Amino acid sequence: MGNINNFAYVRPENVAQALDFLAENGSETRIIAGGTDLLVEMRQGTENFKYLLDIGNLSELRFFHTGQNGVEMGPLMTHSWLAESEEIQDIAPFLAQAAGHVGSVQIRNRGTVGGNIVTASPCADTVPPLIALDCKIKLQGVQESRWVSLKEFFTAPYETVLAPEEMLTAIAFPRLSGYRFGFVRLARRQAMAKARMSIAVALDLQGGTVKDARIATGSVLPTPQRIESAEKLLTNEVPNPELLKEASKQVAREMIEYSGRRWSTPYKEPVVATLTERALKKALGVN
Amino acid sequence: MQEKVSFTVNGKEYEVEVLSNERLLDTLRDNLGLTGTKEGCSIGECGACTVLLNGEAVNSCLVFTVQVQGGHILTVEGLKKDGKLSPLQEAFVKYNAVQCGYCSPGMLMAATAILKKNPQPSREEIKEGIAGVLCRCTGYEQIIQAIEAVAKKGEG
Ligand SMILES: Cc1cc2nc3c(=O)[nH]c(=O)nc-3n(C[C@H](O)[C@H](O)[C@H](O)COP(=O)(O)OP(=O)(O)OC[C@H]3O[C@@H](n4cnc5c(N)ncnc54)[C@H](O)[C@@H]3O)c2cc1C
Ligand code: FES
Ligand code: FES
Repeated sequence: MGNINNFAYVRPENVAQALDFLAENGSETRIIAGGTDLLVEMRQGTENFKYLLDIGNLSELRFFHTGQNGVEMGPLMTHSWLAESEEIQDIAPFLAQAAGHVGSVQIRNRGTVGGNIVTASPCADTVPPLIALDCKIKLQGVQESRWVSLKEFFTAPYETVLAPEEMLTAIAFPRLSGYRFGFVRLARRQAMAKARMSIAVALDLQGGTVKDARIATGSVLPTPQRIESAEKLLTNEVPNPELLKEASKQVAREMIEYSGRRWSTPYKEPVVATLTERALKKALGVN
Repeated sequence: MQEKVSFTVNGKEYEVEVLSNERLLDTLRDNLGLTGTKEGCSIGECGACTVLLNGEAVNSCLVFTVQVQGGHILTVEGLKKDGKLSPLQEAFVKYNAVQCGYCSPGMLMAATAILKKNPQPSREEIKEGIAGVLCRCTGYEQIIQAIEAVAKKGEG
């Protein structure tokens, strides 16, 4: 097709072959998993590369284990799977919810969690819940591999620490037993619209007191982040409406502190605060 | 670069030689002459190009043909049985779910996927299942009714 550059198509038989190929040709290669980000990008004509490495059929990258400590899964798990998996709904319901918000059925059937992470769009839906879960991801090269905290994976919008010869091969997060979760996103329309902003919240509530609070944002700061100053306001406190408001405003303040006042600030500030408050209330099960 | 790819479409086996950057949508329409599948936005947003790949609804504009090696594809042309319209197609006609018809192939494939997954879907499930296909004409109500009618009869 006219708008998409031509390339040599490479289909490795296993992860080892894929990594060998990347070691040789990484800087001239694009990986394809589901292709839902890549084909759109290529259609826009910004992409040029020599090799397309198709990892979409590598069964080694399509797995899910859960144990006492947590979850480890392959990057090829699709949004449809995440949204419908009973285990994810049980362990991390807000992740299932976030995945269920992605695009449409068609997009969720093809789109993978690995692709969602590596694209590094500020509005990637699965990322804020994963960050709230303290997710770590495995970046594997032919010689060595490293586990990176997802929070530190992103360096700027659409930029990450992934090296050309590396591949994302596993995603892991601990089981947060007894936590309560909330996820809210703001989008233009319900279906198909990419999120403009999203907030994921995990709260450990013991005897009415917040023992641990995690608030992760998407599209609020340039990269998805935990907002520790707001988390601190909640920790060791008994939640009440004023406290929730204060913590929510703190998230908005962080945004302004980071990005300065802009034309969009008067709009974004109350929106961020309101979304955060809603996510906190969802987690607490109050309206 | 040319690549050989084999797969089935509507139960029939094909082996094609395509450029590595050819999309499944182009192969179906231009190479196999199956022009029922439509191209709208080309970026995954309109759903006109929806087909089933290994039983799941996908946007054929977002899939390279080389990726479907060994896959099974169902297009709108595959819905007819023995020259007769399928129950879904009949219902689309009966309930006026087709106006200009541009969305209909994608809509029918999305509907097929809904009923395949759950023969008795709720209205919400139907709405969610067709949300990835845009219709500029009908306002969706007639389409939802058509799918509900088939579900009720248990013909999906
Ligand atoms: C119409 C439409 C609506 C959408 N709506 C949403 C939405 O609401 N929310 C949302 O978050 N996203 C949305 N998306 C974006 C996209 O669907 C998701 O980001 C999806 O998860 C990408 O996964 P993929 O497997 O299709 O990625 P691909 O397109 O295959 O890959 C994406 C990028 O990641 C790299 N990559 C993939 N896997 C690996 C790996 N294992 N190791 C190293 N690099 C890898 C690729 O090289 C590429 O750069 C939408 C896309 C479309 C077209
Ligand atoms: S043409 Fe494929 S979704 Fe619009
Ligand atoms: S009938 Fe015209 S777009 Fe749906």
